[in-house]
Amino acid sequence: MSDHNDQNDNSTGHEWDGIRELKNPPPTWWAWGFYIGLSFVTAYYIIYPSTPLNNKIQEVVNGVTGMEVLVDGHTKGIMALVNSNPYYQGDTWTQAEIDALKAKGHTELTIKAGDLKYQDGWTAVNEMRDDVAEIELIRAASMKKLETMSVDEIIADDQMRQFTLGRSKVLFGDNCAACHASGGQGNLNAAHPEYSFPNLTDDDWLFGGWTAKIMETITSGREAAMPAKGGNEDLTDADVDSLAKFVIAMADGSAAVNDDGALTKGSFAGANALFQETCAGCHGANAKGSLVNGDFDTGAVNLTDGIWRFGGDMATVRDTIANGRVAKMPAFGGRLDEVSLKILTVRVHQLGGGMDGEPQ
Amino acid sequence: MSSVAEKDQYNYDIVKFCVITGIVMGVLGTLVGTFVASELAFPWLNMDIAEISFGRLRPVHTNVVIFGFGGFLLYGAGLYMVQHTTHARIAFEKVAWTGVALWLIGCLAVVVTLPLGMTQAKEYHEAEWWIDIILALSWVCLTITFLGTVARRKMSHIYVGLWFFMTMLFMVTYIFVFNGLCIPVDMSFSYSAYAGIHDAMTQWWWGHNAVGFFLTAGFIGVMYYFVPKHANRPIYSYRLSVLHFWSLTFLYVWVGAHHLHYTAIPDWTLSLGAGMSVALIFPSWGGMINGMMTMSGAWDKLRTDPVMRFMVVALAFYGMSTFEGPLMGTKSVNALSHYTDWTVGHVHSGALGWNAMIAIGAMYHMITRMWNTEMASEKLVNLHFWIHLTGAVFYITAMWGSGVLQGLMWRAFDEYGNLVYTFADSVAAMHPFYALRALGGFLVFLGLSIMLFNTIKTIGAVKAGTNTPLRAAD
Ligand code: HEC
Ligand code: HEC
Ligand code: HEM
Ligand SMILES: [Fe+2]
Repeated sequence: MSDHNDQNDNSTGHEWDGIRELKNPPPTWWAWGFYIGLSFVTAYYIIYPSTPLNNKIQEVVNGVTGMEVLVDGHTKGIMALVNSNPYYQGDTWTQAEIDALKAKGHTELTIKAGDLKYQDGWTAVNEMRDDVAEIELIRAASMKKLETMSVDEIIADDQMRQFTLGRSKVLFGDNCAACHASGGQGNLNAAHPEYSFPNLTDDDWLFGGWTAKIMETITSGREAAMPAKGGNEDLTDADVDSLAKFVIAMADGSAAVNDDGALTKGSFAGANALFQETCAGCHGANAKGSLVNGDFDTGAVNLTDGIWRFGGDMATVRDTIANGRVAKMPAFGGRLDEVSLKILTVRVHQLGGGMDGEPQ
Repeated sequence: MSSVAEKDQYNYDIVKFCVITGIVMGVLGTLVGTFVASELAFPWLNMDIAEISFGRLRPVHTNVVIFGFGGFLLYGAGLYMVQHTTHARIAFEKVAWTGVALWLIGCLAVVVTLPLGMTQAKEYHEAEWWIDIILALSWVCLTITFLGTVARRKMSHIYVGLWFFMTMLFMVTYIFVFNGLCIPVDMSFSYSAYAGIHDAMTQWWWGHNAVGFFLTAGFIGVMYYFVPKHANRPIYSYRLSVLHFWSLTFLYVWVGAHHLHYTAIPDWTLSLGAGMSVALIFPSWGGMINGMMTMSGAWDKLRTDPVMRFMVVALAFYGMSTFEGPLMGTKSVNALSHYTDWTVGHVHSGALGWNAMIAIGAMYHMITRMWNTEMASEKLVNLHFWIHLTGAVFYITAMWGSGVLQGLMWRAFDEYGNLVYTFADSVAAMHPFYALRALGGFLVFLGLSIMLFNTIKTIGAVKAGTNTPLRAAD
């Protein structure tokens, strides 16, 4: 075999299937790297928490006997000596916690609210808290102001408005965009009209574009229901058809009714009669929807403005009238805190269609 | 040809079976991989069918490529090299065949049960308890055969490739069995024996060491036979083999915690994982250096021999991913890379660059030796090399790009300290990267399909029997 002929002197003398091994030393740079790697680990373990010791139940914490704390026993590393958390300074006792301990009989307590609970220097959790604290510091002043300002005051104050809009983007994206789309433009779903969500950027409102009403919508949610056949069982398929044509005609301007429910344009006398009897109770005699007619809660759509909630083709409108629609805007009151609700109200109001003043 | 008694020949039948099954598994696994990659880029492909949705098919892909393709390569190449480096026919042939059959049954069971939603929900260990038992029994069969064959060796020293292989056999049994401990409820459900943080820690002790022993030690073992054999050069440094063998084996088992940085596990465990990860660079590189330096005097083969090219490029990728891994194992880099596609990029520089390329090289080598022929088309082998390499590079760069972008988008703040991007923004930004990744995956699939085609043509052209007598003791 050819490999028997070269470098014979440098071989270990073993051979398997013609494969031999040479006695070369490992490259020097490799050996250096190898030892530097091992030194790195050693240094790392001195700097950071590393060697596990016994976990123990400690019974005395800051002079409080009888309070049991599981002490995670491990070397803390020299990072525990230098304070590596400039922003996060450790958990502190609150007055409520101290009162609770006193109520439990720890009357000898000497700690005051604001005292540090413990200080373990570098830990992964402290590092995370430190990062969070650093960011919170940047927004602390503005966030504090938000607590006391009303939505209208925020909108009036240019700088606070900017801050709030910046802050609202992710809040809206994470909580609202799934339904209303990231820009708030909503979603008209032709394939599944029941999954259509209203556009929040225009001035066509279901429940009102005043800050008070927007806040109410977001906090408590809404559930508008259009009953099948407007709740009138007696409507025939032919009636539904003629109503659908009428509604579409009102939307494209080829039919119109005045505030008293009289037909002023188009030849839909029969359909309008049905409409005034069955539908006007919610959509209004003028078909301009419940809101325009002073009803804040029903959410019956304005049928005259050409802006569709579920879709304006014949099949969809027929389906809406024949089978009804139910839509639910979830309540965020319990889920988001007060300040977040204000921030979102500002965003929705500022998307383009916000209405000024008091609801009327 | 058949003048030599069977016991004095290599048992190639079992190796041939494993190699061909391995190639088929590679084609299937990368096909499913390309599909799940496309699902991420074009979600309508999920088609609202639970059984083909991303969540169900992703583990089918990982299991078929790791245990199907990688596993059959290890069975095949292991049984091939153990015979060649002991100059003995395999021991306990019935046991060996049982092991191979059980492995195939296990792999097929995984392919059927995971889309149906039967899973233990442990990564790379998704298969339910009864499939675990089939796979574990198979592994024990392989171990018995392997050790039996080593015992039959005609020389006193055991070849370095076999050390790595035996370490793998031992460690994989150990970690697979302990991570799999559970209380079965029925055929489709079981409770893990561990809870909470212990479950996570055990899972990543397995997950990491599946990489460390199955995908690294085993494949390094394969490398140690096929690279010097194919290059026809001696191993560069015996001392380096010894040093990096022991340091790798010792260090790998500690670092599983680098998969759990900044989670609820104790800080000391995280430091252990981070520190040891960094120390792993040079022990890992020992294998790469020994392989590369073995090439000295044979570099010209790279110009003419695509199989050699597969092997050498595999070593380069191995060096790269074992540099990247330790970097990602440190806390500060991991804070950026964790939960992002960077991890996926890292995985595939290991999987497509290192594991697949060394596997493919070894497979081509074995096919030509076992059927005693040349590949039907040398041009197609060359084409396979370039297509695979292009696919792997597309894949890895796409994931690096998207991973770093994700990491940066998630932590971007405006001047008021407000987050700049929503999570959905980052998902939308991934689209071009996901499309490119799917293309990369498709190229790898295409390459393996070419290999399967070439192999079938090669075998079809062989007429004579291919009995090969054992190598006489030197
Ligand atoms: C699950 C889907 C869903 C989510 C999430 C959602 N909404 Fe809505 N929203 C709706 C639906 C549906 C309506 C229409 C209600 C109806 O017709 O009863 C609506 C209506 C509204 C309206 C009233 C519009 C009008 O014309 O009066 C506002 C304002 C609104 N949503 C704001 C938000 C905000 C802010 C969020 C995030 C905090 C949000 N929504 C999250 C589904 C959703
Ligand atoms: C009980 C009150 C009520 C009655 C009666 C009623 N509607 Fe409605 N209608 C609604 C509400 C509320 C909506 C909005 C539904 C939603 O957002 O879930 C609506 C929506 C619609 C829409 C959808 C408009 C769009 O933009 O997609 C049409 C069309 C419609 N109604 C027509 C009618 C007709 C025709 C009648 C009479 C047969 C009728 N409605 C009777 C309450 C009513
Ligand atoms: C010294 C060598 C290596 C080290 C220190 C290392 C380290 C790491 C780290 C830190 C992660 C990311 C964990 C996370 O943030 O979730 C990871 C993931 C991974 N690595 Fe490596 N790696 C090494 C080599 C390899 C090689 C050669 C492969 C071969 C394929 C590989 C396969 C994987 C896989 C499959 C994952 C993904 C785990 C998951 O699903 O989350 N690694 N590795
Ligand atoms: Fe790992």
